[in-house]
Amino acid sequence: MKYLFAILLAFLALPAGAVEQTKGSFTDKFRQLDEELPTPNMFRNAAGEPAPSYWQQQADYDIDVRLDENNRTITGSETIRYSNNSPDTLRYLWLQLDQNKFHHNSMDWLTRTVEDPKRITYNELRNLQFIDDFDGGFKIAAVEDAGGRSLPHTIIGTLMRIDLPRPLAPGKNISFKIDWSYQLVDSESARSSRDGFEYFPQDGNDIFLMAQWYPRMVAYSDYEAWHNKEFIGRGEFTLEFGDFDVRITVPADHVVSSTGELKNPGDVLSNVQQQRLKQARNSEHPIFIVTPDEALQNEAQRDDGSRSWHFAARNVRDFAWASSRKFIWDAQGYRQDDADTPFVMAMSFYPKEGEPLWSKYSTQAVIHTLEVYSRYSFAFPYPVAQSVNGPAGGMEYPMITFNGPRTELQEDGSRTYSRSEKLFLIGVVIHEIGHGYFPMVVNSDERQWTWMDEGLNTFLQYLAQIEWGEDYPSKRGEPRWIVDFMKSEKQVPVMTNSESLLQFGNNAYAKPATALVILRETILGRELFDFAFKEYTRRWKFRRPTPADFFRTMEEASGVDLDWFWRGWFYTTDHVDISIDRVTRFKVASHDPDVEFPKQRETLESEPLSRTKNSNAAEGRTTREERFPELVDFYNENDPFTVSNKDRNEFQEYLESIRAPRDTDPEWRSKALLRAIEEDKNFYMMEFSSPGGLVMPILLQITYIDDSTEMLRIPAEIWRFSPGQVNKLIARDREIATIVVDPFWETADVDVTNNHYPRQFIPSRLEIYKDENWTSKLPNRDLMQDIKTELDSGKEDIPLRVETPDQ
Amino acid sequence: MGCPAVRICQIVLIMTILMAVPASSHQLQAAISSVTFVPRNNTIEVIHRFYSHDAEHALSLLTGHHVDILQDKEAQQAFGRYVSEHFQLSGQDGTELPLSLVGVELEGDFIWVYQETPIPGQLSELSISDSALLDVTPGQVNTVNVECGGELDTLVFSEKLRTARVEIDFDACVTTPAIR
Repeated sequence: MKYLFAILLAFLALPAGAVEQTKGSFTDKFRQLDEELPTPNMFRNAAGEPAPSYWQQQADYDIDVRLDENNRTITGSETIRYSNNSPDTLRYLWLQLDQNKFHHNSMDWLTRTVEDPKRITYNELRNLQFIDDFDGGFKIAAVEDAGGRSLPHTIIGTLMRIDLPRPLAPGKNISFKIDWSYQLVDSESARSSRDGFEYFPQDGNDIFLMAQWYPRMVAYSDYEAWHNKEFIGRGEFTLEFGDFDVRITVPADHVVSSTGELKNPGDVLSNVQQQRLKQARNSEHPIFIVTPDEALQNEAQRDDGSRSWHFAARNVRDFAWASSRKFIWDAQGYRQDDADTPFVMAMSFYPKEGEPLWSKYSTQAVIHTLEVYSRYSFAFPYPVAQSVNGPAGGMEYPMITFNGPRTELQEDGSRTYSRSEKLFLIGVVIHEIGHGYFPMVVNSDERQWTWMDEGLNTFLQYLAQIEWGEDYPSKRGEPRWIVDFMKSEKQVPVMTNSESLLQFGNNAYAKPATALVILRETILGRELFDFAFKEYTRRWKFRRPTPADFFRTMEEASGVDLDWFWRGWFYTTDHVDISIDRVTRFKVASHDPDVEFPKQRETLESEPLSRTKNSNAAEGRTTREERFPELVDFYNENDPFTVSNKDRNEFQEYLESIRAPRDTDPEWRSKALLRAIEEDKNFYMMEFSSPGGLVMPILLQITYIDDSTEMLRIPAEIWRFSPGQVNKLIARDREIATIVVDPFWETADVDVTNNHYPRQFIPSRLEIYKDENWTSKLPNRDLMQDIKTELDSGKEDIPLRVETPDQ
Repeated sequence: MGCPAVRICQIVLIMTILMAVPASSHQLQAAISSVTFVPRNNTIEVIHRFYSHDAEHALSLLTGHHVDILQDKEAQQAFGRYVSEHFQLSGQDGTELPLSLVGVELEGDFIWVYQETPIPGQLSELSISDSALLDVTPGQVNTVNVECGGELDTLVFSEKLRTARVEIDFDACVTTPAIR
């Protein structure tokens, strides 16, 4: 295991740069990232914004698709209009055929491994049977040019290359047609499918979720050219923007939810439904467009006919839809202060198996997300935002998301949900609708840098969840929860390609989200962060950003050098552990005998008197000097701490010796000294070390002996010359009692036992738990009853803690 | 249970219950545990942290009926017992260290399970088996940080790996206070 990990690490290690520190052991935590980041160019400039020659391709789709419910197939015909806005001439085009992942010989199937060679699970058996039975993958019936002539094409796994009859020059576009069909995947058998159907045996109906359902263009970018990487399932997608015009033919009694706006409501919706939609536009709460009763009736029938739903979507990077006769449908209009998109229709589609949870929370959660996210970025730029319940647990597409939570059927026929499921639904809707901003509009490359959408989205989700309700336990962005992961050995830097990520969830979601929370609350502060973040979203709205663009924009717009932060949090696996090792108090030595001698006398006098002398005095014993005053002389009358003129002269000599005759003010040292004597401040030398490697600001809470406190925030730059250890000197009038580093747990410090000076005993979670829960070993009690019992007089003692034996 | 290469062996089918994978959402399915030597108390503290939503789903599947883990203390205890049944520590000679279940609590999005065992007389190697949720939640990854003597070692358990070992510098472990 360790060996394998070492090999993995070797491959992932950042290449040795041209600059190498080969003498001494200095690590430059504040080195600028310029060497690591790609060179700014005419497409993406040094500011982190699209440069004058920025380009991106466009792919428009005109699609006719039919769902065959009984056979579980999809048959489609599309015309793709591909615009080459790049400066390159293209001789071939690449398309992605993601359904080919389900083909017998797909790389995904072939590279799946089994845990134990001596036993197999039922699931593994089912998978094997599934591969045998399932006729997966796209069946491409035709690839033709605009004139109907066949185009040469080659299929390699989940990719298809079309060879163009004539090279496609910059600025030109080409249209071509593809006919295809494929078998839908049963969500029961293919456990990691993002699309397909779920069959409900009780009523004999299905929910169809359609994603990755059409052959589509592979992205072609300025930094990678064709992003043609085989789809093995984990890394998601890199796609182009374009316009879609889609006609979806489904059974006549199906309700369809789709990316885009419905163009022919008159053909597919009843008058009542259209009325209700109109009403929903201005409603203050969700209105049923298809009520639960209507959905129940719909479930029970079967219409042999079919209907076509016509949707159009502008400037989207993908297109997904769902269809079922089981859907309950609700909607509520959302108005925003935006000239381009003043109105968004928030809608939810769900079967009765999601009730009563969905009707209560889904659409409200959609609107909540739009409200919060838009504040940190831009007004939602699409006319609809939808949350659809189906077999996919949580997945996002432009204007439509698929979310999983269901409720429990009780024996009495009612349906209930747990608190956890409710929180999960709200959270997943926020998260998936949130993806409507990242990456659906701020179109980062999910395949290469999962964190750019998942990390940013998880961060905003955290903010939105906190704003949902008082007791929403959203602590996922809180720095303290990431420390266990960050101190662990088995991890790779966040800037690692998604397909190879160990600890995928922590690295792509939690760690970057936490880093952003810290950046916002602790490093930049909200004002600077929000301004810079909003600027990033404005720059890259409907465009394709890379990590360098994000890093550069945040720095440039906030005005704060953040290279050390990106380097530490994104490029390394260091963790934060700042320790306050020692604090020493100083007073300035004044050299002035009139000041020092009395002090020394005072110190001596404050020491306890000798035991022997005390006892003698108590006995009434006198000293010889007391009985014979003639023995008393000058030395008795003047103790060793008496100041003589010689001492004073020596002081003047000292002041003379520190004169600086060549400086502008030769007396500057004595002035400083005399001032220090007068102010009589306490000097504190604080020694800090950073064993974790990840440098952070030093946040100090100083408590004085009078119990007053002071917060001192030292910027991270204090570590720039010696990242392992620094000494900081401060001067204070009052006397300090304690100093605590990061008192509010803001910096994801993994070890708080070294954060206190003087050292405090910090119990572990388990010790705290035992302390608080000693009563948990008592049998369950009926407190409501117990509390009514009269207190016996004379028995007011608190019961003793009982050491309970181990279970 | 060896299976000679030539003969056809009977494959024992293992019952596992799997639930639907949330493809994108929050990427839960990750638990983190710590095994920490605390010389002060002469104990090894084991602290597990699971997402409470994962725990609830898993428990519902395992028991066959719906569970409300945030509200139901019994369910929390049941989960604690489940975890302790799927987590073992053994010494270099294979003897299991007797872990007692101290308790279960909720905080944030998480459910915490606490166990402890006395530090044994001698230990040169610690073998850990961790299969909690591995047969219930596809894609589940359990990270375990073993801390003692100022050293930290991490083991990662998944469907593909359920047992692993770390070397222990016993003298350092029983003298140096552990990092919390």
